[in-house]
Amino acid sequence: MRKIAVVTLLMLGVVGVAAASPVIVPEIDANTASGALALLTGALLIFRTPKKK
Amino acid sequence: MPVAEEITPRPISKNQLRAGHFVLTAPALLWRVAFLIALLIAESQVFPLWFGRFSLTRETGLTGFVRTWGGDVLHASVAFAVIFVAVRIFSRGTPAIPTLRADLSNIHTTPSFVAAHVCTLGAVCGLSFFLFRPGVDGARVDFLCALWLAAILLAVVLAGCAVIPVRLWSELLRGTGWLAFSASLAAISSVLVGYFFVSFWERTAAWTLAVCAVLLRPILPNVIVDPANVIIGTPAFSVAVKQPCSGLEGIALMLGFLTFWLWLYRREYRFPRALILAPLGATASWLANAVRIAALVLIGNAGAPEASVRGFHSQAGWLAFNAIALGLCITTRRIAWFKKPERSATVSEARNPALPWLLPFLAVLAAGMIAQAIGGAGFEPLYPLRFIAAMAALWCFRATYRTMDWRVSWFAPVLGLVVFAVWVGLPGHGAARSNGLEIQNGVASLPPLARITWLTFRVAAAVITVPVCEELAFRGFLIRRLMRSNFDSLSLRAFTWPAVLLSSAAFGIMHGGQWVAGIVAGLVYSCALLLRGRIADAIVAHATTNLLIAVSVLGAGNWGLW
Repeated sequence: MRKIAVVTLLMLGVVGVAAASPVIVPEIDANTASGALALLTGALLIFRTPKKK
Repeated sequence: MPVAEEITPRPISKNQLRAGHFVLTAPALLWRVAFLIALLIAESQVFPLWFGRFSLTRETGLTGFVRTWGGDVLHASVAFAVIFVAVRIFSRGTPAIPTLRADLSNIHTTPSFVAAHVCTLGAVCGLSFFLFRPGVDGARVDFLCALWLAAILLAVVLAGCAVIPVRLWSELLRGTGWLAFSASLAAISSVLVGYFFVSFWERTAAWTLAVCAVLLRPILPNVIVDPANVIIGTPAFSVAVKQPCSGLEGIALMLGFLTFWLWLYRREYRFPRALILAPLGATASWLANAVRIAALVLIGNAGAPEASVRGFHSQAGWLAFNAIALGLCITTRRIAWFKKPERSATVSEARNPALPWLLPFLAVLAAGMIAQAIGGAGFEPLYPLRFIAAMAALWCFRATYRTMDWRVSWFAPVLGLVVFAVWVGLPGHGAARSNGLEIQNGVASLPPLARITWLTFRVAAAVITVPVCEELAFRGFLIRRLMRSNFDSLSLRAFTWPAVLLSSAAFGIMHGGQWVAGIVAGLVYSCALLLRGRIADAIVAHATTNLLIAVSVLGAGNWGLW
C-alpha cells in the first residue's frame, strides 16, 4: 500500500509539474488524469494485495 | 508496520511538561512539514499571485527575469515538495530523524509568526495589484518586483517558523539535509529535462507522422500526409501532429512510472535485467501514441470528428498508458527471468480479498473512460455503460455482499443532506461545472425515447451504483487498507485520523475541480460509516446527496451539478 501510494503520489507530481511548467505544454486534462491514475492505482492495489485461501 | 502507526503523533508526557521541555517526535515533525508544504500550495491557489508570465509586460531587468524564469521556479518548487514528501514520509529504508528537543518557551512565539505570515501575505497581494497592472513599466517596476519577491520569501519563512519552532530548523536540516539536497537536484533536473525534451519534439513528431502513415495507408487509400506542416488525414478530416502529440509525454510518463516502480520493488526484481523494461515501456508507449493518432483519423473520417477530437483524443492516451503500465507489472511478475524467486509458497485456490471492494469502482472508471473515448467528453451518450459495468461487477460478488450488515441508521440521510448543502453552497467549487451546458444541450438533442433512457440510467447510476461502488472502495476498503495490509482483519469501525484524511483527500482529488467539496463529502461519509460500522450508512448518505443533486438538476435545471 505504502509503495503504491508513493507511485501514485509521484505520478500525480509528474502530472502537476508538467502542468506547472512553462516549457512543457501538456495535453493532460486534470479530470482525465485523476480518473486514469485512480484506475491504475486501484488495479495495482488489487494486484499487490496478498491472497488468502 | 502499518502506515498509520508510523505517522500518529505521540502524546507529550506529564514528566516532560514539568521539566519544561517537550519532545517533538519524528512522525509529528513529518506531519508538520507535510502541513507546511500543503499550506503553501493551498495559499498559492487561494491568493491570486499572478504567476502567469504574460501578466508581466516588462522584458528586461529583474521583472523580465521573473517573467522568463518565474514559471520554472514554481515548477521546480512543486517538484521539490512532491519528491521530499513522497520519499521522506513513505520511505521505509531511510534512517529515522532523531528525536528533537526544544525549550517549551520557543513554542509561545508561534502565534506571532502566524500573524506575521498573514500580514506578509496581505503585502504580497497589495504588491501584486500594483505589479501586474497593465501598462506598468519603467525602473520603478523592478523595485516593486524586488519588494514582491522579498515579501513572498518572507511569507514562506514566517510560515515555516509558525509551523516548526525556529531552533528546530537547523536540527531538521541536519537530519534530512541529504534528502533536501537530492530533492533539490531532482527538481532542478526536472526543469532542465523539460527543456532538453523540447528539442526532441519536432523530430519525434515527424517519426510519429511516418508511423501513422504506414498504419493508415492500407485502410484509407486517400490518406494525405504533409510532412512540412506535420499533418495527416483525409480530405474529410485531418489532424496536425503537434509537438505535444509527438509521443514524448507518454514516454516521459512511462519512464517515470517504471523508474518509481522498479525503485520501490527493487528487491523483487533481478538487475540489471529488469532495466530492459524502460526501453520496452517507452517504445510501447510511443507506438501506442501513433496507433492513437491513426485511430483519431479513422474515427474523424468515419463521421465523428467531435468524438474523435474531444473524447477519444485524451482518453485513449490514458487507456494505453494504464494498459501498458499494468501489463508490464503483471507480466513481469510471472516471468522468472525478471523476478527473484518468491520466499512464500503459493496458496492454492487463493482468493483476493480486495476484489469485492475495489473491482466495481474500477469497472465504473474503466467504463467511463471507454464511454468518453467513444462518445466524447462533456456529454457522454454512452453513460449507461458505467451503470451496466457496475452492476455486472457487483453481481459477481453478491455472495460476499450478502454477509455484510445492510441496516441503515436514521442519521445517514441527514448526513447526505449536509453534504448536498456543502456541494451546492461552496462558492467556486460546488457550483456549476464547465460542461453543464454541454450536458443540457446533449440531452436535449436526443430523441425522446433515448432521452428518457439516458436520464433513467444517469439517475440510477447516481443513486444506486455510484454510491455503492465508491463507498465500498473509499470507505470500506481504503481506510482499512491504509492501516493494515490484511485490511479485512479489521472491523469497519476501525480507523485512524490519517487514514480517514488520506482516503477523503483521495476521494476529493477524484472529483477534479470540485475537490474541496469532495474532501468534505469524504469526511462526512467516513463519519457515517464509523459511527456504527455499517457500510450501508455511508452508501445511503452518498445516495441521498446524489438524489438531491439529481432533483436539483432535473427540477431546477442546474445541469452544472452533473
